[in-house]
Amino acid sequence: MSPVRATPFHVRAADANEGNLWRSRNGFTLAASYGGVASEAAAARLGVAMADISWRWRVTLEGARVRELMQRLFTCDASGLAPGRALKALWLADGGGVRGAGVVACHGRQSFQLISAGADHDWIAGAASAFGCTLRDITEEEGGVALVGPYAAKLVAALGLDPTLEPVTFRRFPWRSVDVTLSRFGEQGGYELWCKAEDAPIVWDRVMRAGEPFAILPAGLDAMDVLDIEAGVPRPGRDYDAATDGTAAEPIPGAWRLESLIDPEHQGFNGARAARAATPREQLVGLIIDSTTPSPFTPVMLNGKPVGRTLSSVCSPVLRRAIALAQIETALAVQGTAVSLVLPASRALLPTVAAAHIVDLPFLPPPDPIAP
Amino acid sequence: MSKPYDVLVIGGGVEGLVAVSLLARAGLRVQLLERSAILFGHAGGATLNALDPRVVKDLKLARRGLRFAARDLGLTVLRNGGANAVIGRDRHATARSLAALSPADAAAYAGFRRELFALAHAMRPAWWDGASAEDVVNRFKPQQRNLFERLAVTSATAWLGSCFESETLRAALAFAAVECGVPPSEAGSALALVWAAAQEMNGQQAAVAVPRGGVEGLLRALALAAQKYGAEIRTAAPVVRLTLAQDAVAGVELANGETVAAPLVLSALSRKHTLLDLLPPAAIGFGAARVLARPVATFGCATLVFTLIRASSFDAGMRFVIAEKPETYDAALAAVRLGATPRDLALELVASPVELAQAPPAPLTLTVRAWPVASSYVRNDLVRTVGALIERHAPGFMQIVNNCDVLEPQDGDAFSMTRLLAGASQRIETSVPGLLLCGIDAEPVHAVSGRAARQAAGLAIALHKKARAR
Repeated sequence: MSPVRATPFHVRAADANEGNLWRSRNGFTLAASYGGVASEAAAARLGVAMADISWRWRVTLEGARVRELMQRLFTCDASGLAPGRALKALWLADGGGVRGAGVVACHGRQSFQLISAGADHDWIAGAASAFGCTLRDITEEEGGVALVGPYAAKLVAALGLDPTLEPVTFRRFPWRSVDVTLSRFGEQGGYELWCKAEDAPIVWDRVMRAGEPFAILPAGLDAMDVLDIEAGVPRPGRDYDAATDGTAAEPIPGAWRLESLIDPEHQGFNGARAARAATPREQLVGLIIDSTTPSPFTPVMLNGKPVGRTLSSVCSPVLRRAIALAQIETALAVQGTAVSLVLPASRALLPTVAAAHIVDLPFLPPPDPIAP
Repeated sequence: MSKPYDVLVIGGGVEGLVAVSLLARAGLRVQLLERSAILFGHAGGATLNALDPRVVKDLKLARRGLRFAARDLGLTVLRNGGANAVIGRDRHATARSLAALSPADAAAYAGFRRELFALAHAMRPAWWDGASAEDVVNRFKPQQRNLFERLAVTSATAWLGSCFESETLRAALAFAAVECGVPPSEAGSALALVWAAAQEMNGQQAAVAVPRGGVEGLLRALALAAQKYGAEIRTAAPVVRLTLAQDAVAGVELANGETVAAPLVLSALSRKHTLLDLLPPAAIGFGAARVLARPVATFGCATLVFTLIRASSFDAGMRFVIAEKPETYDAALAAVRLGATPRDLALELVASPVELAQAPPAPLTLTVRAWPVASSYVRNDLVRTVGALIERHAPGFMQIVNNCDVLEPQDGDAFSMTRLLAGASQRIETSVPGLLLCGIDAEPVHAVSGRAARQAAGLAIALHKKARAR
């Protein structure tokens, strides 16, 4: 049995986790849900929720040639970023397959940070060493929480921090004897608050106290997955297996709606030629299922023939329907197309068929922020 | 920046000179860049077993002084305390000689040779013309195809073990695998014997020849060909960097800071050095760079050239193999892998032919190829070990040695079945447009044949024509 790898917020999360429901992500043990997935997801969409995101892999890359490394490694050119600025990008195998996606943040003239949902230590370290740069894994040194929901900006203001931060930027603050970094990297339009591991309980307490007027709830991984899927964001490890072979041609960025993370003006990044030449046979779409029962990893049928498969699937509390990310043959991925899902048999039930239809992603836009 | 060339060739060995000569012969403006101050330095062993006859013909090397002192060296199997056996072109004489080792082996040898030579000949389109081995094998008759597929997963030791009972004979024949850079006990090394048998010297299949003046004699003839066709040869010009423009090769930068422009560059240097050290970091891709940067086998064949004060007991015009039994290879390799110096090595000896026509007469030498030798070898230990092994068969040998030069094992790609069976374009082309490999690493196995250089030159000429047509 593997030991529990706790995030810096684990002490507080354990107190708040009423059902003692836990899940593992990137090797960390995190609350699956604190008191109910639907209420947490609703809080994140209608009020404000706080989620522990310390499981995200974070490394610093430093060296005299770090900007050359940024240019070569990532699909968007981070070499021109000023400190405090960031961008979202992919890094690809030589054959154009997606190895990872993340946020590249500039911390100084010769210092960058990479934040990603999946670790790829050997690859990034190898790339760094080719340019004489050093890589330091700071995942365990810092903790982070995401503040998500329309009241997130009001909460940040109530915390005494400046919420006037542009998307995909970050700023460091000394915050009542605690050094924090406030960023806006997430897909949900909220904020992230990063702090040293030892300061994590203080940050948790302050956020929960300041969030009381907004009915803040801590949100577990399950609720954050609901938000992710509603936003149409595929995740490595959950929806697709990132390339591990150095010359892999798959997953093709275009097959996972990740082509927007490739800057068409940026030349010379690793795997550029192959990725630009690749034509995906399948496309990522959304499925709204005529049921409230999620149907993950199920064959998708059209006129009795399999045309794709569902990926992650959840019940959306806002849509009151089960939704699923799905990969469908490109030619057939047309909005409004009615398809059916073959649900597997169980001891009690024979195989059943659920009706669904194809929709464009995202299922729901990020919540409209309410100005502080 | 100087006026651009059509093609630059890096490295002035046999491969570089073949490539530059063929390119110049096709009318391209080419320059060869050699890091040493002289073209003919340490040229390696005394023998050639794979020089492509088409290179000799195309470049008219016979007219430019290439002569052979010996065209087909017989193989003498040396035995400790027993009669030696000689394997030569005459099958009756060979059978008589092998009968001293084993009458059964004498009877089996003709069948083995017939099977080996037939398969080797059938594989020539792949190994001579650069076709993919898969395509060639698909056209084989079922029996030959079965043999190929069996050998592709069989070690040379196992194959020879299934054919012959004499350990000394098996060990001697296994040396051909070592020459291809693969331990004879490794799966697939049986196919290395087939590759060796597919070669041709002076019109004879699987012959081993001694050029007059050694490999240096070949280099001189090639240099004359290059000059004749108008290639520029520049010595003392070490390339430190390949320059790129829009991810394609644009030329080279020399150690003195000078840049030489060309849209095509052929490198006769090792794949690793060319792609990792000369290109900007990870220009070939982070994945490919990681694979190339992995440490490879740190052992290989070392060449020792003993200069003698008088003729030894080893006849000129003959090859001698000293390897007691097939296990000699395994035991020596195990010792090398453990960082120890093996007591027993496998040796191939070639005595220099007495060239009476030369004035003054060339010094008498005995060229010894020793396997396996770690790249971290200690010179004196190696010479002592090799000397002691030779003295078992030629007592007092070390007393007639005047000097010994040691050429360390060549750095390069490890033997791989993928490379042995790949088409020429896979071995020669790189992921950087305009950069081609033409050295030993672009050959199916480590051997001086000039064939990869010939194919790379052909590819470069085609690319040049295509670019001009655009």
